[in-house]
Amino acid sequence: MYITSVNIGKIIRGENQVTYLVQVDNGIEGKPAPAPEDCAFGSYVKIITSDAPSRALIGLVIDSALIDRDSLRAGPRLAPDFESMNVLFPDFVDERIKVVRTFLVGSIEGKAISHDFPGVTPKLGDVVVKMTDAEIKGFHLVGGQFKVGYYSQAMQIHSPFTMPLMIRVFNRLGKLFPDQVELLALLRTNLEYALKLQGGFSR
Amino acid sequence: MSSKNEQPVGRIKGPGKTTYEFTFITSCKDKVKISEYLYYTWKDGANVERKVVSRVTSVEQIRMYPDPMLANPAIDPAVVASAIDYSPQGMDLYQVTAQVVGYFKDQTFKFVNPRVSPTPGTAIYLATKSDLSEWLSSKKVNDQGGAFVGTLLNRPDEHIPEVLDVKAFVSTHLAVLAATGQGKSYTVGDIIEEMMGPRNKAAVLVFDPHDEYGTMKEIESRPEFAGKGSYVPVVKLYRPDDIRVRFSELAFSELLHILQGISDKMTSVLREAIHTARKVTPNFTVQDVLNALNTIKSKENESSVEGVRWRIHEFILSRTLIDDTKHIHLQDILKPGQLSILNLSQIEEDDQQVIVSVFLNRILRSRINTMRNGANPSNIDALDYPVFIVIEEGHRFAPSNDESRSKKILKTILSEGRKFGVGVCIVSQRPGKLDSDVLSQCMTQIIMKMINPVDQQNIKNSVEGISADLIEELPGLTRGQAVVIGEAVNTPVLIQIRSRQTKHGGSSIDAIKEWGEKWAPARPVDVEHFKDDEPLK
Repeated sequence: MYITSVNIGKIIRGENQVTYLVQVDNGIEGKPAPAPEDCAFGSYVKIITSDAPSRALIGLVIDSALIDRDSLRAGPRLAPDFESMNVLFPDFVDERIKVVRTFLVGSIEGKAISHDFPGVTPKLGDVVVKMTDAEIKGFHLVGGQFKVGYYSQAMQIHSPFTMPLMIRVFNRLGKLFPDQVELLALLRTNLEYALKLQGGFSR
Repeated sequence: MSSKNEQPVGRIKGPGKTTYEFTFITSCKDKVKISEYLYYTWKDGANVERKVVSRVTSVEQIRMYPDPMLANPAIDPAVVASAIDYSPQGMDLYQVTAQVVGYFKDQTFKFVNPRVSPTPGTAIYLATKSDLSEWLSSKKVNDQGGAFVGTLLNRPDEHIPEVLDVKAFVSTHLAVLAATGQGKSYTVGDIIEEMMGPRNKAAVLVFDPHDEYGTMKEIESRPEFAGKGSYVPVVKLYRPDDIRVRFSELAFSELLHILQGISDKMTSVLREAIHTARKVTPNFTVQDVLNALNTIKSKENESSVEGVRWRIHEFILSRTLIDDTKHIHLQDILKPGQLSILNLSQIEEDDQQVIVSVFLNRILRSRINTMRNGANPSNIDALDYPVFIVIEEGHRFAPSNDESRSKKILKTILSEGRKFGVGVCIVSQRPGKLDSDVLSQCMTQIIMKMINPVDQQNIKNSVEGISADLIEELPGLTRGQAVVIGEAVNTPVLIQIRSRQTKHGGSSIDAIKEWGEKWAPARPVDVEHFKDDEPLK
């Protein structure tokens, strides 16, 4: 059930109980790089924990960063461009990577769906996979009822991206749950007011 | 002291704004209503645990749905809360302000204020039915001296009776105040029913300007008002034509009161004329006095004699109240176990004031004389027992910004009547127009729905012990609900007035029904009357 066609990458660092850095596959290590929209801001991902393959930790992409480890180093970087580097130094490993930060919003284990902070944590190297629309819908139907139970937890993240993230989430869910559009609009409007009017005009 | 089964409804937070208030936190919104009675336990100096009674005066919500959750009227905020995984059950939290009434002292049937703030964190409980039945009324239903008027409004299922202390309101007077149509006369009817029963056997006189109390004649024939022995209450109805006072029975002071604006010289002339007339016969007539005036007339007193003559014509002969022969003796209208209703409905307002004034003067004078000199069995105007007088439309007889013929005697009775056993019940739909001294002398009040701010203000200024929260309750009461406060109750209480046993005579006219019954097809217009060439007549 949890093996889908699009792998995002693997866990390379845990920042705290709920925030993890994922190195996005770049195609060099034999794993195809996901499309940019597969791990875009506000995307749902799941982490298959190697300890318990039946359990998936569900996360949201809340930030991203581009890293070039060779930046400002001496040596091969004197080459004029990366295309030339691959020609001039065939064993050169491109160490430029993209990482995304994920925020855990719940878990799925069998039929049990939770929107609480997960008690267990993923391991370094655990695979992070893009969630399909059907999986996202399933995650938001708890006991047959529509829920965004992680909303309050997400709003506690002290980040300038929190409100834009949840606005994006509500827009996405609105498309998946047309019967909940009014409810989601109510939640979204409140955030938009806070972000665009209170945030924009408070100074 | 609290029963093991009782669950606290809140915990005390701390003192309130005033020394006799405190606040507590609760989530039991449905149990903690305005004016609900609660208690906490407290140990006095002798280490005796007391239930300190308090009354809820305000409720403020301190935890609730955030405003944005209420933004879309089509969406229940509970659904939104559920969607973000929050169960609204127990979400709302309230800070309640309560006023300390005190702990109940069985020996005195009074509350004693502990004068100590409750300890924060102390549990607070809802008063039980048995507690309230004991605390709220010093009298019980069917007690001698009790008047069961209704049940506690906040506990409709528990039927907790509120019983007024008849002795208290007869000696220190009663006011029944409400906007029109809210049940004033209905409530007074309840009180009269209680007073006329075999337990109280009261002597009651009603001044009835709207003919609302005639239906109480039923009391005579209903078995529930008869005693186990031979007691059967008597109800006498006096129609406007029956209400007469014999001229020769009027006290000189009453006569002066009727003959308005009489000068000292005129008083002297009148006194001489009456003295002359009385020497001829004790049952002298008005004409006898007019004749006597003629005999004593001289050049020196001519203008005074004419002044008195004019006043006799204006204030006595042109009115029907004073009669040469007919007379209502006080013992005819005031007897234990008798209700007398003076129907003033077809009498001019000024004449109504004269009637009330004359009867109140006579009653007070009779009571003073009887108490000072003892009862004279041959004097049928001697009242050897306390009496209770109901005055409907009280603002007519003691207006706030105007003089009336009856205001002075009413104020005298209200201030001094207690000593002489003359109790008064003032009924008014316009307390704002009622003299504030009159209102403040009524030490028990039954106040029903009242919207007019002037009326509310006069109540606030004149009614001792009424708190701001009770004033705020007045516009929100519905018909038949009342605040009772004062000497006849142990503590202010909100009640639902009980149903009448006799038929209520003051109900509103059903205009729609009557129009429907009286409607008839219009007659064709007689055009002959509107010919153009015919001159207008």
